[in-house]
Amino acid sequence: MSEKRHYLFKSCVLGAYYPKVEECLRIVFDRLGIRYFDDPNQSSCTGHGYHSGIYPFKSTLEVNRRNFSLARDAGCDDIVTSCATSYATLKEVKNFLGDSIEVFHGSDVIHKNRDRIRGRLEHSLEGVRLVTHHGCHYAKIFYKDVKVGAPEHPMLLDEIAASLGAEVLEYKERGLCCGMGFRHLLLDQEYCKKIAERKLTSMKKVKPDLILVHCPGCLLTLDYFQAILEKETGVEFKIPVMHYAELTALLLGASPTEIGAAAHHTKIDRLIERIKG
Amino acid sequence: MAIGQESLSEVFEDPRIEEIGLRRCLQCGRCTGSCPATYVFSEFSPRTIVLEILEGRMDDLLKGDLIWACGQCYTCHLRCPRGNSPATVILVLRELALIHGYATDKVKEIAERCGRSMWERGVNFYEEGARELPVEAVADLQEALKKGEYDSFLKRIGADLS
Amino acid sequence: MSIGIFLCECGGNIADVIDLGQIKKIFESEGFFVKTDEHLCSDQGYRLIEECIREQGLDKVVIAACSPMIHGRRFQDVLASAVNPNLLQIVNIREQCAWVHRSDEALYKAISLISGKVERVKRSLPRTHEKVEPYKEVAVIGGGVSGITASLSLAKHGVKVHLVEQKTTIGGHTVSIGKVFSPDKIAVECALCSLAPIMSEIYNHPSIELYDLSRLKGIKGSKGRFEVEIERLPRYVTDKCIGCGRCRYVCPVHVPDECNIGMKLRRAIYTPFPQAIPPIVTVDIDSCTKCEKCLDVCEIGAIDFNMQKELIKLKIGAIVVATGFKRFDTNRVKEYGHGRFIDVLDQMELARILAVNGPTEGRLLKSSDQKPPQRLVMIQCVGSRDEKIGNRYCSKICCMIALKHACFIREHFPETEVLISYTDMRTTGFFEDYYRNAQDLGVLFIRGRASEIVEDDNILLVRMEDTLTGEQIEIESDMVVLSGGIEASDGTTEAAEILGLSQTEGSFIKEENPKLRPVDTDKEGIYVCGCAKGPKDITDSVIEANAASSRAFEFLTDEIKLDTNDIRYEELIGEINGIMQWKRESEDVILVFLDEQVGYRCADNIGAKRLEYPANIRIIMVPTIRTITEKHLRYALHKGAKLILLGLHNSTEVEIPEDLKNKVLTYPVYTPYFKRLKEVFEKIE
Repeated sequence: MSEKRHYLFKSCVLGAYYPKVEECLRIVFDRLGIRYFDDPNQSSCTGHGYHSGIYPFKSTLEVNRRNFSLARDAGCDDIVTSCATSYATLKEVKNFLGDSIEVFHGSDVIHKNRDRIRGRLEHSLEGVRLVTHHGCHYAKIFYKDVKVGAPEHPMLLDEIAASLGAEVLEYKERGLCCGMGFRHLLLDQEYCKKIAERKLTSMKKVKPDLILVHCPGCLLTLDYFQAILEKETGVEFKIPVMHYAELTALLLGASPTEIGAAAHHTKIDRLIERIKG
Repeated sequence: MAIGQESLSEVFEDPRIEEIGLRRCLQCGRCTGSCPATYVFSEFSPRTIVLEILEGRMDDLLKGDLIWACGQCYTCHLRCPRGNSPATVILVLRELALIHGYATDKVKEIAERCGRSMWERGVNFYEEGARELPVEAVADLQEALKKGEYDSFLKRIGADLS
Repeated sequence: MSIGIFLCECGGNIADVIDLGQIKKIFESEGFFVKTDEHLCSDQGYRLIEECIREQGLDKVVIAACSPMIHGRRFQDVLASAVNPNLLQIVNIREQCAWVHRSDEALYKAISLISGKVERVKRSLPRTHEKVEPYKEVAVIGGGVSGITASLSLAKHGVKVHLVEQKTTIGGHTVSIGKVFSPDKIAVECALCSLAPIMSEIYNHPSIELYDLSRLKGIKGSKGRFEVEIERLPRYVTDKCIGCGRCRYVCPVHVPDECNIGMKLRRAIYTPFPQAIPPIVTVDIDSCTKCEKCLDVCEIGAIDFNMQKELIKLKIGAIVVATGFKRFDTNRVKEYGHGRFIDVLDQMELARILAVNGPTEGRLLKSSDQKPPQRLVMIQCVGSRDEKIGNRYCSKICCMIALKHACFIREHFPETEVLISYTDMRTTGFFEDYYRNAQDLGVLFIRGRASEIVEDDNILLVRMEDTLTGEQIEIESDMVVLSGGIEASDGTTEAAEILGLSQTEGSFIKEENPKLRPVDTDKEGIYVCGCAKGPKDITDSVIEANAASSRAFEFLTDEIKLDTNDIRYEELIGEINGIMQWKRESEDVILVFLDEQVGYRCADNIGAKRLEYPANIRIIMVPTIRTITEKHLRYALHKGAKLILLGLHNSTEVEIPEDLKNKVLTYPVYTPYFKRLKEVFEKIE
């Protein structure tokens, strides 16, 4: 993959709520000399709306048929997404249209290059205990394509975390969805709160310093609802949630401002201080 | 209770249904067993949704709220021993419900919001400072959306892009 | 070479429709000897043919008459002294010509069909009627309960048996399961008690040669006279061993014991269990440290570290494949946590725990803290009826195994609750009584297939839906037992590859006909029984083993003819060529290939009912559809056939090359459904 040129597919959620995190993947790729193409004309994949049930299948097909031809016009070898839902939506559309273009998730690329990254780290996660959460749309829809670990027990983020020096903890609700719920996030958020609470409670039990995710939806849900749950139930979580791209960029030397630490609802400053020593 | 097989033809015409074993459901309950939506809304059960389709009770399903409870986590899709996918079936039902005019106001509201964001800016969400597509790209995207009949879909469900 | 053509008037049945005189003229002008007769199938008719053969010095004969299904065999047998059976061909100009077409059309078709057989017979070679004298010896591959049963049965028939077993002892899985469920007693019987006596019988029987630590390596020759190659690994202990056990006590190595699924330890020099056959110890050379302490204490000098791998060649008349099954590795179903959570087991591990010679001497204790479990939950259909895992089939025995263990536990350990999470309870026949008994004993059945197992504070939580109440529930448990299914063993897939046998879904060996010949394979002289051909219990395995032994014995005592009814490649090409030679300018000839057993008879039925169909249909009989190769298809199209139709019956499958898919069609044929076949012939454009 490293000799190729990747069409980077941007995420709506990151663009709206964590714009710097989107840039982090580019920072990492620059450090590794991985070639990529950023297309301002690339539209949303409609994944969020599609899974909410408000985009008909036909629209999703046409919108992404356009995105595929943009990727090809740019002379790129494959598409690398920042979001698990984009990954699944693009793959679903690609299968239906019989398109041969390849689709990968950004964390797949990071995983493949983890040894090279380890060699260039300015800081490591030595002494940091974390839990991982894999996006449902990454592991459960195209489960046959899960190569690291198994669809019921993916190890992609675990291996990335281990290569960065962290200790990875198991927890009971590892397979549970983060609770984003697509249309639930947009409307009444009862589902989001109940599932996020269940997820965070299970994580809290093993006392992690960090929650590592690779999907913007999971980042948003687990980050945003901690404060709300604290207010409504009185239970404190205060566990930093970070996206693999921003964490990797940070460890490769990017500053907290560069990774957009301030956009996090659950503060990550103390963790960053600890890492940077 | 009449089991009307004719109402099922709409479901089976959707190309996504060909790929999954909808008729092969064993009613084993593996899907509902760890469904997060069942945990939150105990009346919802992916197994029951499939049962109701196969028994022809489409009207109740399309008019009701239950198909909107699903959080689209695809655990049922992963676990089904017969290769079925209640999550996919629910998306098909959601589309049919809207086309038949059973959109609740709330759904219409998010359809309008996301629809406008997509139509005018080419992204699903818009916040201050969020990314937007350049003007020519938006026009190009609107052509793709029209080809996908998105504008007529929105009109049918009573959402307004203007 | 001179060919004689004989045309039968069939008492007017043929002659009234087809102008035989014209046919005679045409073929005579080509230099063939042609004779017409009213009834060729009469005694007078046979004598006429015989005379002509002698007088004219004919080498090959073509008879145009009724269907070969009617008199074909008889013609060949009666005239065998005058002409070799393979040099005599019958053309069907009655059921597939005169009876189904109009006069003018029938004439042309008859000419082309006769020409087809003429061209074919030109390329035919005399059939050598060599009889095979089979070796009266049988190789049984696999020494589990099926292999043992088949071997004893064959030996009692007076046949010499070579029993090939890959492990150090025979007995298979039956030695590990502890107890078996009995169809007539709601109690469990000891597996080893039933098996040990017949295992000894094998060892002591003068007609049975046991090859332990041996695998099938290769095969040469053909049915009745196989040359089978066996590879035998060294045991490092000769049969001087008296089983005193001194060597075992001094061996310093401890490794997991396979018979106890790794739950107990054994030494590097060991006997798997006291009743093992052969009753001598074995050295596990991979674990052995070569300290040679065993050599010091062996007073008989039975240990020999210089023993080598052997390659043994056997002359075998028939083979019985009894290679058994492999337990489904329940670790593969990650959401159930086998391998992650120490108190999640599979049914075989539970069987070892409940066995008196097992790791806990029969006490029901948890692996985690050696205390009895309060609530045991069994999960059914693990690795079976599961398209995600890839085994769509039902493994048949898991419901009974679960009930066997559940009843036993409720009777002997009443403080332990037992719950079974099931999709369907498959307790067929009188096994329903077991289900009833389990309910009486207080086993709780929850209908729903468990979704996942998680652990919280050392308690296992089984998450599932109780589909009968519609509730999502979490059952607290301290021991979960997974009812894993059955898969084809490695020995089965090896044997299938070496012997060239067809396999089913799941890689089990496919029987020749599931209804009428369930223990035959598609290779004559090779039989299959037991779990090598699909999941089943001990009863059915024993039944099949006896059946296979009977079939093998039939094969060895009956006459075996080496020749087959197969058409050689050139002969079929010739027949296609001969037919297509007579294609007229505007004619769209459609070639139909039908197999002898089913398709051809179906076509004859159309004629018997005198139903008309277009005459551009030309039928060629083949022994089976598999005789036809891609080259034949391309040749036929090249020669001008517009379309080709292949009649497929039962579950015959053919692979048609992509570029021919619109020219080569298939249609399923059944002997009584001739009306449908006629409709196909009519609509085939």
